[in-house]
Amino acid sequence: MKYLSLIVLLFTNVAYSQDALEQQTQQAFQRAASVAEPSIVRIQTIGGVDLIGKLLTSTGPTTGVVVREDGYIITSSFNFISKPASIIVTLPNQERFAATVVAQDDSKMLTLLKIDTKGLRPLEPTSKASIEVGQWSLALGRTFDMKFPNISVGIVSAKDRIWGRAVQSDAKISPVNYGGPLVDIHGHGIGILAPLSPDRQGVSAGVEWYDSGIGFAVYLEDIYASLDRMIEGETLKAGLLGVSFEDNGPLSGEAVILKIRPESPADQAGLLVDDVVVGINELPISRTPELKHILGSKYAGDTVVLKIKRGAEVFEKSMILVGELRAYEFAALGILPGRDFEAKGVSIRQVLSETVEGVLKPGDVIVRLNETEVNNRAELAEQLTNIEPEATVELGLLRNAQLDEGKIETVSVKLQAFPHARPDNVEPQTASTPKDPVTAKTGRFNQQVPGEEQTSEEKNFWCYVPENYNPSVSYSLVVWIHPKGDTRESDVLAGWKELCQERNIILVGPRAEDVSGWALNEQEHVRLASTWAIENFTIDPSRVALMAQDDSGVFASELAFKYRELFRGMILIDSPLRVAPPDNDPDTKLLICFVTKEGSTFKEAIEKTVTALQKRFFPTDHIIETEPTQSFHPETVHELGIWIDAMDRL
Amino acid sequence: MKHLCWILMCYLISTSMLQAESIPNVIDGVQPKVVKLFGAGGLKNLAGYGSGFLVSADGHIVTVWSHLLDSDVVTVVLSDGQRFYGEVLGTDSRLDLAIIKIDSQNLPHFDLKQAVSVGPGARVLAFSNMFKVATGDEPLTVVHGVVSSKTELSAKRGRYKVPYSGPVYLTDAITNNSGAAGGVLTTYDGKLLAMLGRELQSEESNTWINYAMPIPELQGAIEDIIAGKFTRRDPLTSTNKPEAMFSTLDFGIVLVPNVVFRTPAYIEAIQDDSPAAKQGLKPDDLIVFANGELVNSIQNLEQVFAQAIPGDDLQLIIRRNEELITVTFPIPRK
Repeated sequence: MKYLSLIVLLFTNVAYSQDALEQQTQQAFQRAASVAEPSIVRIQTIGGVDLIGKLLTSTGPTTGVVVREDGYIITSSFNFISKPASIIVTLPNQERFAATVVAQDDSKMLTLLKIDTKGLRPLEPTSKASIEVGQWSLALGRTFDMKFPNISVGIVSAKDRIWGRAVQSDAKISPVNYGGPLVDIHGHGIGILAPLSPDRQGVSAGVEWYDSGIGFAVYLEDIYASLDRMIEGETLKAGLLGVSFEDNGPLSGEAVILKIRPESPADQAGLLVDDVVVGINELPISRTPELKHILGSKYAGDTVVLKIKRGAEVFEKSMILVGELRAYEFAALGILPGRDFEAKGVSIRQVLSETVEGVLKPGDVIVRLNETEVNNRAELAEQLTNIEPEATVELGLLRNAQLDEGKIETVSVKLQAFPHARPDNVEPQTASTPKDPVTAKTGRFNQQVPGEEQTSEEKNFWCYVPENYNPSVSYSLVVWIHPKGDTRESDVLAGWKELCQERNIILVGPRAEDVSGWALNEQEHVRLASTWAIENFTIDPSRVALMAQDDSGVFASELAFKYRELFRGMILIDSPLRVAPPDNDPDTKLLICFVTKEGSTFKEAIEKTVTALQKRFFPTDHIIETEPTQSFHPETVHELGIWIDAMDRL
Repeated sequence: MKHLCWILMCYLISTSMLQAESIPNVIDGVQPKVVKLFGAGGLKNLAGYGSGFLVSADGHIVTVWSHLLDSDVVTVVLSDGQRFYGEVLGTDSRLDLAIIKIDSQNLPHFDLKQAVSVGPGARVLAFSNMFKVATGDEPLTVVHGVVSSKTELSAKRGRYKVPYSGPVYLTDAITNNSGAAGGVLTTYDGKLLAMLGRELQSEESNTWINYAMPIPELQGAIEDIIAGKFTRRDPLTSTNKPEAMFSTLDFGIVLVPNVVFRTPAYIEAIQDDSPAAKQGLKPDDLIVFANGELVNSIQNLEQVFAQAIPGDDLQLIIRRNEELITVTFPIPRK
């Protein structure tokens, strides 16, 4: 009977086994943190700047992980974003050391530190192969308490994110644990926590996702694999081939080479446009993303063997990846194309360059470039990106008088570097009277971003569409990113209204939710507002520009560098560039124009920025206002009008 | 007999781990003890709602001290939908705490004496009416997470813009939302741990933090207010901050010009025969810690010197090349 009652008791407990599991899970979390704990160090920095872009750099402690017994510590480069004067490492036993930076991994945003000691305990890594989606993962830091790591618990959400570099977890990953480890339930290191972004580079890319349920850790196994190179002091950079592929989207098909950068590894290996990459290092490739996943974790200096299919032929080519490609330089014909979208070919609206004057005339229609037919402006622009400046090309032209006969005249034209400066003058194209009555909203009005109706009232934007709007004419779009404290709507409208009517410009003015400044998460709002305008009016995608003044320049440059397909121009008034520009990209040309008041404190910085951008072949113009004014000077607005009108020059 | 022993052992082991109730039961047990609050507010960025929890059968409710309580009456809605007008019985601004009283009896409540403490990694539940999604008899929102750390929220004034400065639990459950303040943090088996704090951004990491104030820190004040014995400890009246007593120059340390917001505390020169000279400090040394606190700017260092107490020791850690050197200055009595 005694037996029985005990057994009954035991059975009642089975019902509660779920709770035993809870208890054991909790203990397992604590044990995992304890196992990893001796390898987790605190990092503190002294000095450095306090503001990087819009991001206030933190002054608090951050975390690092021991990777070699003799004082090597890996951490996230984010922790040194402020470029500190000194770095101090505190070990779990409270011992403090001055640390030196040994090397950086610019591809995975990591920094290797060295302190002068021995006998540390490196964190044991788990093998990448053993990591499973759904398993527990603990994000650890040593920011709050020296005695025990701070813990956040989540699961492994995905493997091989950020082009194969990182694991994704839903543990809360933020500046309080960047640089710390993501460990498994045994306390072994899955990876090092770092802000990463799949589509952007930079030390702070991905920070906006902090504590959002999306966070990343760079595989610890990979870090150990490249540790010797870092210990040697080598800065690791993402390895580049110098090719771009047809359709970069996630659904892209086989890896057909679209472009090859001159002097790049791919160029030197003799790859050609239209070659198909069908394998890398013995692995088969059937789609572009597969190739990008494998290349994503390769460094400059690594050798890859590509299997190439050219027609019926399949062969292998070995090449050494590089960290930097020669900056891309745009070639130009020196013309302003017409905007008649229905006609075949590209008509010449104005000849801008002296070298082609006389050879090309306004009214000529370009229908062929070398051997390739030209149907429209986009095709011509696209073809020009494959040709180097200084090259000579043959153009097939339809001349005015022969339009009807269709006789093509061939002329030889020497291309030139894409001009930085706007033309001296561009005659405005008058908007003809529309054939049908215009139904679109015109004038100044407020608009809400579709799908954002639920959010607060401040989340709408204002818009100005010239009263003489004609949907059959292509318009420029200028997106005004107001400076902090004042949306300056009436100023902009008063200064720009006339120009908008004259030069077919539509204005869009998103408003920061908090008028005291733009938050990083408002990028999407601006994007949606701009897209709304593009969808509802006839807007030329090559003439969409951001305009910012003073402090909003930072937010605008972040937007321009992030949404490169969308924004093709950026006007920065009295604001030097404070965000490092990305590489020039042949597919998404970005024209930049600075406006500086004579005597401005930023003048020198802006001049430096202009030189630096021009060196990287960003078409960069500079307007200097000689007359000091408080608002938009009519002369400046006039010049900006020309700049905007000539954004689509070729 | 061997068999019996085995069963017994099994039983003992399992019961020792089976203190807990199942999670749904735990949540059902906690819900009647937490309340929804509605009061003043509704202005921009100020929510007119909040959370609280019962600590007596007679209707004493603990919550955070906030603008919500600025109006004469606070509406309290219990888990069964009963609505009461609550009166603010007392507040302790030092602990960011307020007690509301409603006129009722035999209410389910937390026993403050049963409050427990846990360490990092402990699984927790947080109950609150964040974003006032619950109205009437709807239960409060429960979120789960672990204790990330138990730490001091603020050792130094001005680092956090919050009146409370004691130890806190930081959790990875997101509680940093409108109306969550005043809710409770419990263990996975429903034991009272802490009161959820306000929406707060850490000035150290510039991230939003999720913190809760441990009940043992609040217990004394709560009991005093309920007993009517509470005496206001207004921090404004008790500031007998000593005048700035010392500066680095008093010890012969000449720092580099303080040009930017975060100028590191590099030594430019050392005056002859000064205490600093005697300690062997040299130009180009970088002062990295003072009395254990990280010195991340000259301004920072001068604050430590200004607050030095005569008769004590002031310890500095200096970075010279890759070496850290500790020096100690006795603070003279002026």
